[in-house]
Amino acid sequence: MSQSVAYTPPEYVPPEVISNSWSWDERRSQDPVNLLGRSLNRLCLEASDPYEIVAHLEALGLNSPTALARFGMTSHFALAHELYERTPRIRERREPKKKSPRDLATPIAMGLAFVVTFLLGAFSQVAMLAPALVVLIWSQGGSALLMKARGEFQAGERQDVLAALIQIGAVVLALSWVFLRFGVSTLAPTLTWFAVGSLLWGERYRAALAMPLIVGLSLGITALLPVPDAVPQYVAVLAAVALCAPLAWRDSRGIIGWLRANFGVAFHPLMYGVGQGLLIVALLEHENPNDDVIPGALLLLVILLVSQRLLIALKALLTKRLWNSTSEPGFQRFAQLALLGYVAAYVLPLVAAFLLELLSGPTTWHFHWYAFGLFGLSLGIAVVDFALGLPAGASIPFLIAGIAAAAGLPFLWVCLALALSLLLVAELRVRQVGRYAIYLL
Amino acid sequence: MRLLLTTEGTYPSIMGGVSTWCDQLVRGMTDHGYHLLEVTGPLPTKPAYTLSPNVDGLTTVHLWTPREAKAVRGGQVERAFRRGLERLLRFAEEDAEAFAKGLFDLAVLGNEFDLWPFFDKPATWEAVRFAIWRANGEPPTMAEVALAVNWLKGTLVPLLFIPPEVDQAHTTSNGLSAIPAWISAKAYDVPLMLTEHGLYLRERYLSLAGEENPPGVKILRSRFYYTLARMMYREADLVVSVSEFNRTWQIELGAPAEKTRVVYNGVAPEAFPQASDAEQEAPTVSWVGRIDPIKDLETLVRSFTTVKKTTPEARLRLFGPVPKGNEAYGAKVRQLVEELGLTKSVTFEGPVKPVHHAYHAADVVALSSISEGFPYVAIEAMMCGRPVVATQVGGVGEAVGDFGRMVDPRAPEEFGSALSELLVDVPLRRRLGLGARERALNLFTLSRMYDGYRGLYSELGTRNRARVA
Repeated sequence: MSQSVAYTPPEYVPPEVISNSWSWDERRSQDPVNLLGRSLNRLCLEASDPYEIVAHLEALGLNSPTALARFGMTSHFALAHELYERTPRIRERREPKKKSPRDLATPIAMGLAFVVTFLLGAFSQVAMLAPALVVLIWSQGGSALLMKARGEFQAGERQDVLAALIQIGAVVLALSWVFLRFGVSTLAPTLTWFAVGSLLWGERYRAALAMPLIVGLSLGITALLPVPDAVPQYVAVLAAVALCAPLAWRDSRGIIGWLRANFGVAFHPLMYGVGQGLLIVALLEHENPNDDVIPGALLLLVILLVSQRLLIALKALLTKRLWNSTSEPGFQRFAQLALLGYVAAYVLPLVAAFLLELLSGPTTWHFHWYAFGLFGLSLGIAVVDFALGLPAGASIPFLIAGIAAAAGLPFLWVCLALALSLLLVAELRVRQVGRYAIYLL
Repeated sequence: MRLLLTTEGTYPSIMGGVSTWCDQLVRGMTDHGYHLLEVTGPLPTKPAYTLSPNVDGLTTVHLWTPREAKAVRGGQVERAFRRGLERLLRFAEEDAEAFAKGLFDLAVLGNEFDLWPFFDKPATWEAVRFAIWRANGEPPTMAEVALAVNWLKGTLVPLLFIPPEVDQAHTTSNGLSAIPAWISAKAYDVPLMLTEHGLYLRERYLSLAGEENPPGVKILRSRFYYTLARMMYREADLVVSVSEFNRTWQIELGAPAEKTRVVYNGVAPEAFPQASDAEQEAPTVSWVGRIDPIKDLETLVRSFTTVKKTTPEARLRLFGPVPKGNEAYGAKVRQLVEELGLTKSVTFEGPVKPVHHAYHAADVVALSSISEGFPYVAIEAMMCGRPVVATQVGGVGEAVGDFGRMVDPRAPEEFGSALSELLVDVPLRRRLGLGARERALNLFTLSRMYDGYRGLYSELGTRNRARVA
């Protein structure tokens, strides 16, 4: 009777002998214990203690009678002790293999979703974007819960959490309809965001990319052929439902208790989601995005791709350093420099753009630069929360900034204050390695 | 007498061999009352068994979840936490005494205060860093420290409290569930019994080998379980095993021989009636259990190519569920069946109720696990009068005795030859089947198991335990 454990058996005959770990005599020796030690080289080299070797010997079918018959040892415990004694200890550090598809697919899918949202006209008025902002807020909270689920659950339960989040998102959207009473023209961009977010959560990268492409294709057809204008909107709704239904179609009741117990994890993300939403509303109310829609959308796509890569690079750099550094102060200095580099890479083009605009006078691109700035600040959330593990450090400044912008304070000044506060939080946090290191791993 | 029975990842939320044993024990010991304490993952649970009327309470401890306790920042509590933690971390040097002292101090503290936030403090980070350094002989990387602190927090903090008062504590494994049982025994100065089914430490070693842990984290975790196991073997008043084989491990790991006992698992004979001698439609081998890598179904499936050489019409019926998380392994086994061209001979039957149908449907019962304690499958099959072909692991040989065939694990040809022998030689098979039932009736009945535990409970109840605290 045994309890279920994840088990990867050792190789039978891994010929991977680290030759310099054995003396010449040992390498030549035909002694059965040495032969066994060499055939189980990796296990013996990395064993924490002799009992670990005993456990594996048993799993390979070696017991006390065989230890006596084949190796002349009194028991397999004695055999394991002998193997442990004879093998030098080498503990090799190996970084875990990285998963790559998400790194590229996520920014492309998100960028394309933004582009088609633009093209569907959602940025033309606040009312049209409002339900999409509800989705944005939901997705921030949902991401935090899903991240926690990834750390705690096996694949099956993670699917349940995902299904529950999509179901809750759908209910939230339905409730927002009660208040906002929107039609299909508003529902289409909203569901595009909803579907892309859900599919990325579900690691359905191809489907996440397909969603905006399908909508984009229908927009293209509508532009070229005599097709009713509403067709892309219906296509978006149908595509979203068809692609998300397989993820959502699960009995998720078993997970509701866990979601309730862990709601606290989602609190700050929901708050900075609200802050983000208020800032987007303020931006739309003060600026007119209707000019240069296509170039603006493309600019946003490029920014998304570049910025995401930059963020991933920052995280990867810090993570790699964590795997290699044994000195906390050294790591702190490195982290501060990396953070500064990241901010500079982001701020410099923005400053250059503003200077250019100052020199050449106001342009219709004003909105896009502001959007660019807001987007950069949103990535600050990723740095402060996901990389440095301080959700409150992102939610409080964002919420205050959102409220301030909604109250009519100048958008540019609000964003500037927000940027400074995020930078200050990040700078203070980066000194407390113990508090955020785990979020990088 | 009122007992605290502690479990980990088994009873009463999850079905399985250990849970069956727990349920039998609680239902059978009607003269005792139980408070159950279940250590489980962070997911909400609900009992998979109807609890017996003599169970008066159930405490569920969710790992990776902070306990609800008084929040406190800094001051005396933090200093006491640091002292306790530093003692506890001496497990890195296999110092079981300091580990025990630190563990109890932290439990007393954790009973009142929320210790979760203290794990984020720089002092904790530093203490863990030095612990890894001491265990591994070289300074750890920042990543190793971060992972170790996180693991220690999620694993330990939920267990640091004082359970309800009882007259005796009984843990069903020498792992995390032993911690609250030991705390209870120490806090109320009551006896502690430790029963092991599989060997927890052995299974941890096997599971750690399959995880991607950097060496500093792996060695720290191994040392934790190793020191915990040694400490519990020393502290428990009785160390009970379900087989002599496991008892060898316990003594090897420091359990004083005079404190160890063996009580075999048992089944109710009426639930496993003797199967008839009538021939099956085709010579049939049954396997019963959860589809899990530790059961090594690949060896069993491969062995069937050997069986088919002598008995082409032979069938292998696999009875049992694919538990959540094992879907990939289930698919792997199915793929192997297809690759070997055995789709007509090997069938996946799913769970079966009542389970004796699976044994009655067979001529021979197979058990190919690479690790076992004392498997119910073997004694249930024997009770039904079916001979067992099994791997020589854990206490399986003690169960089967001379009334089946024992082979080395991971030896498909040898396993197949043993199956073939019993499928072909009908008189031998019948003789072994009769002998197996006789052996099961003599040694592996529920009433015998109850008598064993009743005796042990009363032995402990009358013992005048010296106050430790």
